[in-house]
Amino acid sequence: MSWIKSREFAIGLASAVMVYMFLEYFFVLPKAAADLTSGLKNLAVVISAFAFVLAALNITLIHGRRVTRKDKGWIYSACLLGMFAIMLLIGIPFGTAQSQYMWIQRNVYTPTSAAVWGIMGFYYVAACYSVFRVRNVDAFILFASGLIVVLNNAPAIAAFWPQINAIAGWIQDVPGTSGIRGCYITVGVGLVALAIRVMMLIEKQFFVGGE
Amino acid sequence: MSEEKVETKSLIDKVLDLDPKVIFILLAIVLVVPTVRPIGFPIAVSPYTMDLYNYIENLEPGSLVLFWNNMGWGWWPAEYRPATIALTQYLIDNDIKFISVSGGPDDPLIWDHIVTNLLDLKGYAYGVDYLVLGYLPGLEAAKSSFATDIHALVKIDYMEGKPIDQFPIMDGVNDATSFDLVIEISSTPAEIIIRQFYTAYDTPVGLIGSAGMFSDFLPFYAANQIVGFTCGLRGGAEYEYLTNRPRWGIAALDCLSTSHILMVILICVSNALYLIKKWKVM
Repeated sequence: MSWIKSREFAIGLASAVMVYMFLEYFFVLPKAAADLTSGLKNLAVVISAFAFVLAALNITLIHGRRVTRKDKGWIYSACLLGMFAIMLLIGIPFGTAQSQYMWIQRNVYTPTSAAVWGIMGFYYVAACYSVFRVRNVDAFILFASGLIVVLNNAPAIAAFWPQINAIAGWIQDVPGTSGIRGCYITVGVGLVALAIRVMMLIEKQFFVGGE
Repeated sequence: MSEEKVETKSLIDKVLDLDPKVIFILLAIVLVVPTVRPIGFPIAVSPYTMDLYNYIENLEPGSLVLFWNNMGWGWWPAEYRPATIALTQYLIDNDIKFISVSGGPDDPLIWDHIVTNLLDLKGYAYGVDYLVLGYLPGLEAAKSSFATDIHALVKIDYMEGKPIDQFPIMDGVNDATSFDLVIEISSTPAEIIIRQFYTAYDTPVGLIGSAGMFSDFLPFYAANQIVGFTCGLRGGAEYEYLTNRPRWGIAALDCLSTSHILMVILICVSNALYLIKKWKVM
């Protein structure tokens, strides 16, 4: 039974599942095969849920170690573990729909996390001021198109000056969309190539821990 | 004369190297002032929001819409709340049923908050006209599995913890083809929901995204793979305007205009000074 532990078996199994899921997406399979597909997908969902248990253990170990050693910034780790414990102690026995749990979510977590995202807006504007400079022709193209799109995104400007919609629309629909589409197609083709390499057992990087 | 030149140059340098705190204060002012005293700038509705609105308007009463959420509490207030509430309220106003399922751990709680506190349900009954399902981890695997066989993946609902088969809204709802429209409220790549619902089952897809997702959505919109989309606060405000229910989006829209105008002014000033400095050096 040592072959079960072998790397070749793991790669072979993963490749077989990949080929099967590939075929299932593009072809209509018999009922038994469709049931197997459904089971495999559900298995992936269940395995993903286990990742939360692993993440919880990992957070406890990493931050617990930092607190016990009094490493730099240990007070933040202590706060994290404290909040983690409070949420677990309220959430697990009484459920997440319970009023105390919802109160913390709405009145502590929501404003603080929204504030973090809001602060980013301030840094964007400051960064635009100091970095967004016309140093060459390429920068000028970026500057001109960026300026038009930003102006168009200000609803008041778009309402007072409707022509900007057409200019910004062209920038977004023609060069913008074709550029993004090019990226998508390139990534898609790259993924197909990677999938083929995995299916043919050429790509083994996933199973060797990246060393 | 030469002293004057040096002083002018140093002034330009000073403004070019402006302390970010000054910009932060300016931005805070242009955000706070319209919040305290709304200006009431007009709104121009984008075609992307208009298309989503028109598609929903043409749905028959009794149609079923699926919301696939991945919002998170942090992004919820500004990026998603205006569009989500305006759109869901419009579904209720037009007798369209909806089911919510979440791809993020925060989202069932957000939907609990939405249906409990934010919507005018107008007699909509839980389990008959709307249903809130829980969190499904697994990203694309979860979407794919849900689209293939809902009952094999989801056993109980989120709000009452009862088997989903007991709810009348689930009668005949088995897979992606049971829905008249799927709306993803998320900042995850749009191609996943399109691949698993539109490409595989021909189920129409609409998107509510954060402002940063605009470029991500455009190629799918241009290829008619989505019926329409809204992005961020502006999209939400546009939807509120279209449905004639002004709330958070329209209230905050003045801030969006003033902050963008300030940003344009700052960029123009910095570039003008930069060019003057370069010209003087030459």
